[in-house]
Amino acid sequence: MTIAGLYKYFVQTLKKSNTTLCLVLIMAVLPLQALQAQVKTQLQLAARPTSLLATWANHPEILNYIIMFQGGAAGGSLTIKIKATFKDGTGNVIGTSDLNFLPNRVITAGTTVLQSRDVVLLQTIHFTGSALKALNTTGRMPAGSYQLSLQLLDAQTLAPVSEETTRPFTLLSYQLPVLMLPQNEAVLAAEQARVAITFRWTPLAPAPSQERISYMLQVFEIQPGQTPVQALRSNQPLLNKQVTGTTQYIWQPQLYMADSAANRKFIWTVQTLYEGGYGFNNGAGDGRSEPFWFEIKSAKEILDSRKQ
Amino acid sequence: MPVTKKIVSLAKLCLKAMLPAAVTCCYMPVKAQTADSSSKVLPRPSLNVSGTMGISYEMYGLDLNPAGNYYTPRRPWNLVRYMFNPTFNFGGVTLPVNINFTPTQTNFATPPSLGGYGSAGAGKQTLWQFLTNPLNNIGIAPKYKWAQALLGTQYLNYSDFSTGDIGLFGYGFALTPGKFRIKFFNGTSQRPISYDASATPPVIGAYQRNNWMAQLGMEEEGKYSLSLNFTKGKDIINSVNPAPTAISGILPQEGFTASFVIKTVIAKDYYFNTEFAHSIYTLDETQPASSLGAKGLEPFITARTTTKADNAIQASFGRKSKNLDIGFTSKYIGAGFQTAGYPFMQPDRLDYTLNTRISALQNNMNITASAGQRVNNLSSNTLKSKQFIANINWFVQFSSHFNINANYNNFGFQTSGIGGLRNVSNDISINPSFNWSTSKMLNLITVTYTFSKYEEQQNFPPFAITNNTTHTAVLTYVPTFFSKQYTMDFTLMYFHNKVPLVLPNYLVTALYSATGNINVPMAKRKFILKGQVMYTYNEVNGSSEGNNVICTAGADWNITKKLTWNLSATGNLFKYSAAFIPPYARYIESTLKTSLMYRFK
Repeated sequence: MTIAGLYKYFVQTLKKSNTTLCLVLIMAVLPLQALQAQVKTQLQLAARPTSLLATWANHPEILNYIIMFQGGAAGGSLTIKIKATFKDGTGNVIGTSDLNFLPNRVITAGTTVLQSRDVVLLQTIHFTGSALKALNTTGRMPAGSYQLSLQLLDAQTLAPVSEETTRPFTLLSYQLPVLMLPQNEAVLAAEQARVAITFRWTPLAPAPSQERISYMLQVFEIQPGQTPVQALRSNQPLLNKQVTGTTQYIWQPQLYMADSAANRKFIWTVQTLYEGGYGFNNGAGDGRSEPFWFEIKSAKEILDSRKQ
Repeated sequence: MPVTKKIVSLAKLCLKAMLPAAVTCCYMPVKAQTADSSSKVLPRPSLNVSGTMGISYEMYGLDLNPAGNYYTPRRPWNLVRYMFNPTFNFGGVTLPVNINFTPTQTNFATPPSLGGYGSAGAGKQTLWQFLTNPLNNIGIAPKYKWAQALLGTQYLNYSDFSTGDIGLFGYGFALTPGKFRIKFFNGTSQRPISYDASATPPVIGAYQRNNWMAQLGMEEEGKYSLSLNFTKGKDIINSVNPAPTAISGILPQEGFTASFVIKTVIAKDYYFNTEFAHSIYTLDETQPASSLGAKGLEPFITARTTTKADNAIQASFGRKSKNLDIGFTSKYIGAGFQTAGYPFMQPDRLDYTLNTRISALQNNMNITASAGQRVNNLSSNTLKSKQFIANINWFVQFSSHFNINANYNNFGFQTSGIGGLRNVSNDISINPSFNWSTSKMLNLITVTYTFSKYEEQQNFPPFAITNNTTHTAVLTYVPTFFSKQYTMDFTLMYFHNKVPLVLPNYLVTALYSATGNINVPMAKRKFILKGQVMYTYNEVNGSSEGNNVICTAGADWNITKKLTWNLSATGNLFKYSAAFIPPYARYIESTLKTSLMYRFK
């Protein structure tokens, strides 16, 4: 029941029953209503934030909670707690702040802008059901539609001092591309590979409906004495090609591949990029897929190994 | 820098690098002789040295005409690598040395202004950054009986879920008394790089990551192996100043993983292997501690609001014998499983694969096949995707003159839901080889034809289906003259790829290529000259796209039985057609590679 509804109920009760009791109740409610009149809030929430809830604190662009406090009798400041409630798409509560754990915050007269690191305090929120399980194991909320509600409470009485503000949001979770060809640890014939090597990978899934993404195909030579991942971490890529709109690239290596010491082992990966050129990290990582490595051998070497 | 100056500076570098090593080599026999001479009084163990050492240099050049950025350099202009990999044996003591380093930073993950990829090559690194640069290996591992010390750079593989992909610079040991296995290592896997917004481009930065790993186990070779593995990785928040910005996604992380591994032979020819692992991983160490979410494991790791905990398990069993191998492997990695020892491991998946190898007809026919499925996004928080992977390779040696190899690969990928996709790749390849002899020569012809079809289908409007087809044909001829020492081979290749654009338009890429190779041994095979010429004609939608010629000349010189010198120079000319912008542009890439290697034994 809202404060206005409560007030209306008391007025009706006043007409019907004990006048003194109702007057006491009205005296208690009126200051709260007056306080609410002094505190206005606005919640701005990204429509599709990262599902990695734990990293919201590092993304000021996800949430802005604007508190406009006109000041009052208490010298122009107010000590409050901010209660956060997560609901699923149908409005069922799946997580809410434990008021005992919520820290106090003092707001002063004027406008205060808070961000997710100030109001979505995961260390104080009790989640339940599948959301709890998913958050504990992955740090992510399951994909779907949700609502976030924020409300200011008086730090002493825990009575609401603002209206509850609710905003819907949708969580999507993506799977980075999986490399297809050349397969991991594949052996390619030098006679064919020195002219063209076809790289193929699966697309980012599910297909993004809003973000424009591209793929950075990277191929590194594994030098003698290097492990594949060491080459990936330390060498300059021989191929660093941005591919848009397709998940295949035909590479003409233009390399001498007959030498027994060089250009024989390669490691490759795909980095999924946002339009701005940053890694599509989906909340974590730099968007690089699990790399594969392959080896080049002459047709004669391959034939000999088959005979063995 | 002019080429002559480069060569002079290279020669100086070679001398500087090789001189101490040469002195060491000369000194070693003296030491050994001294030991021998004193053996008349008291037998002393002798010093044996095996392994290699050497130096390699790579020079890269790129000339664009007209100037522009239509082709970018893909190698460092100059790269010298020093290699010193001997193993010293003295009595019961073995001392393997692994020193491979280069003063030029080429790290892709290293910011350009620190001398990494894309830099002008003038970047400086501190001694600590040099030692912990993944580009360099500087390590020794002295061993006496069952005790081994590990110092410097080490790449250690404990198990598939604990650690194996990263190298550390640090210290540790491996003890193997009897059946027992006790291992420990502590070191740094990521060097610190401070955030620098003023650099062009800005340096994102990276935290120093310290790791430790431990293993307790028992093993009887050929019978069983049990091990308990622990690994910990932790970023040092104060290692950089200023720290990377949070918006870059580079956050100070911390992870702890424990795994239990069993490998056993359950009966003659039958094996069973399994590993179970649990990881606790914090995505941002700066976030507050929490008692409500995932649990930590004190004193190894404290739970924070950004902590996740999940499991991984794998099992395999099968039979291995001379003519038949068959095995089943399954691997599950939970959505939140993350270990610092495998930074690129893809979680949230279930793989299962059946593998087999059959050898028949007195080993003249070999069949290897595997079929399996991977399910990604198992967790309920994302849409599931399925991949079907199957391949079979069939090889038959019909006679000493004729054999055929056939190969088929299938890869399917499917996601459900509104943004669903379905991709299927089918590749079939057939490769007959025929050889025949005359009184003067042996002839070998091998032909490979590959057909590849890749179909992409969207499960959402406009439900587009894309068929991408590729035909590849390769013909190789290898003549060998009995009376001549030189060898040659010739290859012709045709490549054709057709991709639909906005139908009915297609992008058709065709490549026609011819290659010739020759190796000429001289001076009783002490000196081998080698050369290759390759020409490729590029065609798109029936029009010329450009011509490419690659010429390589080189030599391998066995100066002594132990000292080898290699030289290889490659020129790569690509000339675009009139359709290219700028028209008829061309680039010439030149690569010079040389190395001097000494083999101790």
